[in-house]
Amino acid sequence: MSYAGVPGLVESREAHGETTLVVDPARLVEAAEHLRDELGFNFLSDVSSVDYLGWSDEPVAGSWGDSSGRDLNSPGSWGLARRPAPKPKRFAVNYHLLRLVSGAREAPRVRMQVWVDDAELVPSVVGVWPTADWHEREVFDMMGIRFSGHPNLVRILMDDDWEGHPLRKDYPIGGEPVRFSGEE
Amino acid sequence: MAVARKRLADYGLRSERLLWPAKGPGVFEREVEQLEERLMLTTLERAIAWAQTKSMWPDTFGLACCAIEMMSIVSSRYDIARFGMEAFRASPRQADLLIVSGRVVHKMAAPLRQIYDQMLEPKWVIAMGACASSGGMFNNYTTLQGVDKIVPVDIHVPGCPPRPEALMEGIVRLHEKVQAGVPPAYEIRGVAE
Repeated sequence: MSYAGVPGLVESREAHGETTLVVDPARLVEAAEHLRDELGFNFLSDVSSVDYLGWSDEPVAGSWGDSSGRDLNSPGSWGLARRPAPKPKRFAVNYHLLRLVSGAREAPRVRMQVWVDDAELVPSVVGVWPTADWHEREVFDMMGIRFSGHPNLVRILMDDDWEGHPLRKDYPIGGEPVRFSGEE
Repeated sequence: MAVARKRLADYGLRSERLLWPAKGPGVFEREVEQLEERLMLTTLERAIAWAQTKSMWPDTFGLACCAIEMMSIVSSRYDIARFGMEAFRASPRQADLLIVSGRVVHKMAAPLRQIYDQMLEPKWVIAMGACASSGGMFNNYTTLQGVDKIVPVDIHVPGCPPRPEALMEGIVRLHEKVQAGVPPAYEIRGVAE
């Protein structure tokens, strides 16, 4: 299958038999409509997001290793000699698409990916796949990525008055306020 | 609410309970009798405590996998009806005992506290399992690290999950506490605001 005609296509990667299409966030909705209408990806199975904060920075001692173990004394020097390639931006938002056809023996799968920094907006694809509504709310709740054009972008898992987005890498571990305990 | 904390030993309970039915009155029962003589408990108070333990209705509040074990104590194999407790009430206003059966997330803290506040006094709380007692393995941003931060707990039952026998052991010990005249936990520790 050729993905050359996808609007705003930045990069197309193939790894382990799975295709990743990196798309310009400004033309995300166009690309989504192209994938749905022209290429037949009629099912959005998941929207996920990854926080790459600190990726490819100078590692702490022992954070890299190989089969012989970790060097706890010098930063990242033993084992892997190179750092991972830097990512274009901090967050990746992935759209996992399936093409479901009645009677087909298998469903082709493709991953559409956009990269954003903190406080950058991602266009909502609720108009393309209505199931993206709750998926994008979850991404907003856990990662703090905002979607423009979403009909109801409020928290879905955490409390309405929760502060912060707990799956970000810079979210503090522990010390949540407990209600009714006098600690709040 | 600042309340002077008293340990169980301050009420005269010094020994563990002995489960040995053929032995006659155990060390615990004899101590309770001595305690009653020493404190001169009235017959009416003793009768009220007896009645409270024989119809201590639990609240239907299943939270996690511990709730499966909690449900099974009603079954014929374990048969909590022997203690007059088979009536799990769906309304907290009719319940005397809150069995916190599982992990409590921060979002669930408000409903749990509301249910506890709606129960009529005297009321008791059993924290069942590791998660309700200390957060268990869920040491993360979602989960309350011990339900005793928001409600006063009478009995902690260890286990992950506890077997139904363990939960019934906790229930029996709670009955013994009540019959010995130990006040509920909200009187001993107070309720957090």
